[in-house]
Amino acid sequence: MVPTRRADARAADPADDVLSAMVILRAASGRRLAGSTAIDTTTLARHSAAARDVAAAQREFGDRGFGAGEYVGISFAIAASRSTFEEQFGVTLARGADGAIQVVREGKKAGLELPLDRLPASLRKLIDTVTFMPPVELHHSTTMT
Amino acid sequence: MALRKKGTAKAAKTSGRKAATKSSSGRERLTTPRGRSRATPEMPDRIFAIASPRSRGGVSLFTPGVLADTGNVGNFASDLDVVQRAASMLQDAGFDVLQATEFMINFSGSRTRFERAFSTRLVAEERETMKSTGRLELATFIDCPDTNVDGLIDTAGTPFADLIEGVAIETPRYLMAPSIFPPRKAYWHLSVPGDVSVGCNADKAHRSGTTGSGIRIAMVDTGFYRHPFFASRGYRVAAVTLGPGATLPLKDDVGHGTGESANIFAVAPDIELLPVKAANGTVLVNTAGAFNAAVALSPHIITNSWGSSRPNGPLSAADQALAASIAAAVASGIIVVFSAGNGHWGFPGQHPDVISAGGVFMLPDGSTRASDYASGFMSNVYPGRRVPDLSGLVGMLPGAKYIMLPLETDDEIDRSGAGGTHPNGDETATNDGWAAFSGTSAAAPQLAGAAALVKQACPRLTPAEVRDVLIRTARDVTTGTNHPNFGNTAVVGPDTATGNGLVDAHRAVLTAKLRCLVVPLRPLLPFIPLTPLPPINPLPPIRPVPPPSEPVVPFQPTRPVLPLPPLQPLRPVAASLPLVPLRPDLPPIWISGPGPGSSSPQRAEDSGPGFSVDEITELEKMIMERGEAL
Repeated sequence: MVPTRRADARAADPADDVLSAMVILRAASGRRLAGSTAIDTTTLARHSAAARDVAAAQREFGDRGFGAGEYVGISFAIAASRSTFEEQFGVTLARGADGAIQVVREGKKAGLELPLDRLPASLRKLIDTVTFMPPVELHHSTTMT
Repeated sequence: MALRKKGTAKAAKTSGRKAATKSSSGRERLTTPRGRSRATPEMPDRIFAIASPRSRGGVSLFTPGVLADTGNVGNFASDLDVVQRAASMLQDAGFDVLQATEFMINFSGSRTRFERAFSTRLVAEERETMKSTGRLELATFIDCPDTNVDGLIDTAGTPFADLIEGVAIETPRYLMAPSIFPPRKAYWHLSVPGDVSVGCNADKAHRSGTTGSGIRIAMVDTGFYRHPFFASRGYRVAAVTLGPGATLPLKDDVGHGTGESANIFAVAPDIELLPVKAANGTVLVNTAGAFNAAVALSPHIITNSWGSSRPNGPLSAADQALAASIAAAVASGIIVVFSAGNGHWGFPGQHPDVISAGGVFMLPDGSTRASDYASGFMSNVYPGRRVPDLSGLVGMLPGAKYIMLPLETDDEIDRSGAGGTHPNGDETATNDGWAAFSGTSAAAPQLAGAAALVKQACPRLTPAEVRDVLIRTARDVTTGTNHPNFGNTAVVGPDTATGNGLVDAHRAVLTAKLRCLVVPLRPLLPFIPLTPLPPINPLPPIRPVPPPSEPVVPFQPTRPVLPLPPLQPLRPVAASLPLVPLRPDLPPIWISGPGPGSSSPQRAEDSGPGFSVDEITELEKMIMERGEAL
């Protein structure tokens, strides 16, 4: 199925606009997110990070020029200029037709998740995934066909 | 600048909007492109105009196709002596010069004075134009038929030619504030707040004093524009919180957040709305981050009218982050509402902890059927999860143009939904600040409003209990099928077309009040056994006091104090006790429920006669099963 209509992507998109991604921290339990069943209230505790890891990760991103949001559930948001993202993660970023930010590596679109290998080990060990959010649709007068 | 009509140029103009003709009575009539002919309106006594003194750059401000901007505006400036001489010349011709700058001279005069000074003629004509009310109405425009540009007088061949490049007659202008009232359209649709409130059976709850007061609802969406609709009704809206990556807190470029929020106030007019903007322009960015920002505001309810289609698992890391945020919010006592989707396998609308909002269409006679615009399915991501839980009011295919909602003038929805003929268009103007739309985007805020009423009626209810109350009190919908992507049919009882049916705010509030009559007692903790006190040693006997000089009656010797018997330890009390209903003669009980906002104590609703647990269960059953409207 392809959506017949999305909120169009006419947003101002200068070369260095502010972007935002989600930082998912490693669970205190050691459980990895990949392969886990969908999280709800009954399974959330297994995936929560230790409070000290949350504070450390937010501080590390702050030191690297990112704004860090509230930690809720398993993640917090980071926001910075496009150039900061590209520099810190060693990627090129592009906005798709649907408005979503895509990671480009070696000239190919590589999805929403940012590689962690350029981050320092002290930060990398705290993180499960850093990802842009997929595009969503407003549920008013759009419909799936 | 030669703008006067010559040959084909004149023909081109007269073939358009304003072909002037003479009627049989000899009075000039105007033919509009729609073929209608109207009598010539009265020419005003005073006509306002703007003259462009000859520019340094040699190009007139009024040249067709020329647009002044910051990069070229200098070209249109005039030397000061040119401006002064032009202004003097206009005054000498009998005009009133009102203002002069290096770019233009604002002046006024009578029709006769204009026609004599510029050797031309002026006509007045009525044209449809958008007025402040948001409606297309007639307004009087003054035009010069000798030029190809509306309202332009050419100075070529007149004594003004050396000093003035052209004269533009002022056109009618109107404030673009949208009307507080929706445009009236003949097709079947609902208005806010009235029709939506009645359709959700919220009016009766309002009559009994349950209006959402004290409840805060966060809405993660495209933003909120302060449309006069909201201020005129006294609705409370906090400043917009920007989610990560979102911009421009005063704008709603889509109109979605502004419009759909009116559904909340229709059902719960006294809530406080906390808009959280997740959009940059017309694109939603980082919805999980915006949702987290909403959680940080500690609202009672978060409503969301967006999502992605996820027919199957596993969820991506990004979706898992959002799922976990929702779970954390609900675990902390926040009620989370999501739309089920419009043919989408809506995620997070299928998350097991949210109130999933589907769609029911209400006809003019009050009958209902499943909306064929709304999703309904059994989740493959969360096995056993039925979507939706219950439904709000949603239109039908093709466009669900069903609820007339306020939004930002000339935003995306205002433009894209405008015009046409219902049901393909909403028949409104592109810039009137109103549009007819719905989808499950409308249902979610309606259910959020109903949840607010329930929460006000019984603050101690948990998110799961509020959902239970809404589900159990919904009105069953037994006809129609949902979106063709699913084709599920509404039947008697719960189904995957509408869930448990259409929300019934009044029944939900009554049920919530009943549930607040029984205050659950927390199990008593076992008492700590008391350690026996050690025996007290006997006191030595008190010796008699020697006799004083004066005779005193001697004290009787005190008898020794006997040791106290050791205390018996108390037996621990059982860890849990059965719930005991409150008796009517008990004093008021103060309770504090879980979740945000319930820290302030609320008095139990026990001022009336008391009920036993069985009686309350019976009353709930009566409320839910009563066939007629409550």
